[in-house]
Amino acid sequence: MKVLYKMSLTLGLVAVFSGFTLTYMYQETKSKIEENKKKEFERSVSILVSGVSRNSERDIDGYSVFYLYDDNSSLISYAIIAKGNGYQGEIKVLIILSKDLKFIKGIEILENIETPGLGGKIASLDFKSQFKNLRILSGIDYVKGREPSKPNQIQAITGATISSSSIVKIINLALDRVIPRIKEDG
Amino acid sequence: MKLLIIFLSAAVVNNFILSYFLGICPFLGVSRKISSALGMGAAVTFVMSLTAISTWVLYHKLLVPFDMVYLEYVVFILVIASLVQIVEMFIKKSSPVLYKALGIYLPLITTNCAILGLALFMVLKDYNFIQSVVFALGAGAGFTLALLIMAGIREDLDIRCPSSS
Amino acid sequence: MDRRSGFFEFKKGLISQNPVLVLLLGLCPVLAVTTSAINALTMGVAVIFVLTTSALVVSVVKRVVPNQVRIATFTIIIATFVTIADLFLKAQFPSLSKALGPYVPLIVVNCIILGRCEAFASKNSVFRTLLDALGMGSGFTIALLILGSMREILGSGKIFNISILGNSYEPMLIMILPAGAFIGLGLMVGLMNIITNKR
Repeated sequence: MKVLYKMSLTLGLVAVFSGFTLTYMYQETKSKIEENKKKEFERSVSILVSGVSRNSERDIDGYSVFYLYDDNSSLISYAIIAKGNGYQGEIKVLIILSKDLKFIKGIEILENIETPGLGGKIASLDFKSQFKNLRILSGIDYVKGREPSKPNQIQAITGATISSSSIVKIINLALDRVIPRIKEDG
Repeated sequence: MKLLIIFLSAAVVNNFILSYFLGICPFLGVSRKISSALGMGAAVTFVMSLTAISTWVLYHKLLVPFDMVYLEYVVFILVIASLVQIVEMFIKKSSPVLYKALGIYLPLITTNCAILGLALFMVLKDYNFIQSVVFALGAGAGFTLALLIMAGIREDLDIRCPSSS
Repeated sequence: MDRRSGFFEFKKGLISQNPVLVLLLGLCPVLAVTTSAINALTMGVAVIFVLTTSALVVSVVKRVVPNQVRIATFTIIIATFVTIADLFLKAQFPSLSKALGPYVPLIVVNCIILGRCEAFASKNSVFRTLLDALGMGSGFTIALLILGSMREILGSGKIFNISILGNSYEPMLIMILPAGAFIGLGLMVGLMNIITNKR
């Protein structure tokens, strides 16, 4: 029985030591980690929209929606963070929506693990710039192997159709859920 | 339908060994014979399923509500170690033959990156309970598949050019 | 037994008992994070940290821990230091933390760390343990760095994100993909076999 007692005591002590150390470490780093996330978001937004001085966050159907305001507290744009499955894994997209909800002002790919050199090109400037001032209509669409013919279309990356179409799907799903709610509640 | 995609993706497209490089140690160590590869694969799949169930419950019902997510790694590895211990005792009692065949590799499942990797990915991809179980089954199947292919090749090579080792 | 010099304990981890290339331990992260030199270096440093701290703690408490629970105890200790390293990276180097992804927590099950704790730290003095851990960790980091640099140079023409092969270089994309990892590692292990057999 003494052995059992010693075993439990050792494990208990180690667990307590571990718990205390980690709780301490967590408290120390918590604010910095939050700050990093905030900074990254603000950096991505500022690439696409200028003059944003504050934002307020709202959850719509699981999507993080940000109302972007300028110095005079007038609304400039909306920002949506959308997630979805790409070809290799999850993709996180930042969508900047125009104030009148009719255009996508631009997108930023926040996270992706697509195949480097192929699907990974969705993070390239060439691909992302196609979304600058993209008309929404009843959604956005993509074409393969030719120039887009409608104002709501982009051209998929050659050899990375699935990654490209995933982006379009993720964006459409987000717009579908978020835009009606914004129109409803303002 | 989405469940089928999760299964196939974990088993083939994003195979744990061949795409994520998880579970390499047993991959190189146990894949000499097809029979041991099959046994290892089955044991891993079983442990993976149990792991998915217990870690999902612990993560979503305990760690998240109490803001203790930073204890994730410690809790997960303890769960995995305990599960492997239990499975080991169970196999020892019910099938001593299998127990002997797997030998040292059974307790080594604890340090198999694939098991912990499974738990971590499940959290990252934010799967619900059913999706997590399907994910575990797919990952286990894929692991077994890769092991079998390797064992098949090595058995074949051993027949054609028997090595001196 | 104590006739081996301290320097030997450090040196062996670099070449003759290099954990990656000779002992073939801890291969999971080797293949996954060596897509670039900076990723490889970060992982290497993280492993040196976890290995050294865990091994030291194990060596200090070795007489007090009952035999039956030693693996469980070592594992908790290792998982604790991995969490510390992970939190530190997330706070101070968020982009590197994202690049390494789930492979930092996977250090918990890295055979090298548990292996050294069990085989060495639990049976040797604190000082020797320190040397062994530093040696093994450095050997690991060097192996990773070589593989990572090779894959980055061949796969994208850059090293540490600095272009060195010029714009006309057509990158061998396969080196960045999983297949390239296996090929690269295989070549290095083969080379290592040749070097150690020649002696």
